[in-house]
Amino acid sequence: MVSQSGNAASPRGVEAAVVDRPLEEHELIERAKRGDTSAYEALVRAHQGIAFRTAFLIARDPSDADEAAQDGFVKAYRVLGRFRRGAPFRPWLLQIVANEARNRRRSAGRRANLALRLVDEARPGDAVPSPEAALLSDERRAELLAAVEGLREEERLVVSCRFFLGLSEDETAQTLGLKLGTVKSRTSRALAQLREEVER
Amino acid sequence: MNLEHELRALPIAYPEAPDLAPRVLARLERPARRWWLAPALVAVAAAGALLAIPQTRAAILDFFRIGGVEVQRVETQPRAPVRAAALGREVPFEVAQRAVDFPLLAPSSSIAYVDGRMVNLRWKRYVLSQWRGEQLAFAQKQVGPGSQTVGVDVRGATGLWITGARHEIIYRDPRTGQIVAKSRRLAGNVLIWEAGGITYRLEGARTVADARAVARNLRGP
Repeated sequence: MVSQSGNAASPRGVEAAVVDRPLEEHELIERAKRGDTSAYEALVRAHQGIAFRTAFLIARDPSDADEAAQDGFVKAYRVLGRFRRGAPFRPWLLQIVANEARNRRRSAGRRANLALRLVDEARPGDAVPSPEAALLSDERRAELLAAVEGLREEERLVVSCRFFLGLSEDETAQTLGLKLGTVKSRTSRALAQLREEVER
Repeated sequence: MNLEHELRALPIAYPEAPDLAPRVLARLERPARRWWLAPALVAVAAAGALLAIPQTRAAILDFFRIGGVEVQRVETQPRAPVRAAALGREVPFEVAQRAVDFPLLAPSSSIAYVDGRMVNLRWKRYVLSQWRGEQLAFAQKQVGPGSQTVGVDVRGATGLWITGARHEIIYRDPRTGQIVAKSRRLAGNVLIWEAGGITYRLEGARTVADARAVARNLRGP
């Protein structure tokens, strides 16, 4: 009885334009700047994984990493007004998180840091190794990780960002607060040393 | 395989990543206001009063909720991309009725559209949208400084008449977790009310009296 399609008059009074789409990151940022916390929540969810891993690679302690990432997100929200529109958000956020993690590592002082370890592939539920990973022998991988752990911290952090977190050189520079040239030189120095260690 | 690839392929065992979002959000939000503003509006509407909220008092009434819609006053309006009219997929009314789990309110004649969990009915210059409020718990309507809000009684329920600048609804899709924006450019105004867990949104009325008359004449539950 209602709705015979096509018999209604043109809706002159309403210039209807409906958009129904997932919001893009820059839109979420603009909303969050205006105090929309649900938009910010979406940003937190999108970046919390890498934020936590970044904090962990620096702080080397799970609860410090948790706190650093959490504080980083809260601080980033407070200073979001200073975020330059159109700039990449991820390295901007990671820089704040990395600073938080560094502060915690510093205050942890001499406390022993957790050594990085490799996923035990016999255990189900962990990350599935990539085909590349499967090609490497366990021994070779352990040797390589030990060599990374033996690098000086400034080089180890650059290697961690570039290869463990998969950040670009630019992102690594911003996250660690370094010049791009410094990232490049530390990377090549680290790679040379690693090559020497594992290819001996 | 070169060394860079080997490094990228190292399966580093990270501790299980925590879900930070709830704790971060808890530190950002100021939830206290929700508790007294909503009952205040309900009380006003229940008294049958027509309460105009002057712009100068907007600061204290910056948050209230009608059904699945949170109304927030904001200093600046969000930029909403405006596209060609798209109220959803045009369907026979019976199909629209089957798309939702509640009986639709409808005028005597309209074109029906289904847009996800929302049904839009279009007739004359009006568009009536209806959806189950619980599904759109994050629904949010942002009202800019160019808008006026008035609490009204609609079909015996609490309603809100919003006039002025354009606005949009934002909600989280419960299935995908994505935040979705539904933007609408309005020449006119909007009346929102809620009954039985369903949120109704009527666009296109020129005056609050017109909007309430249209709402009153809808058929349904």
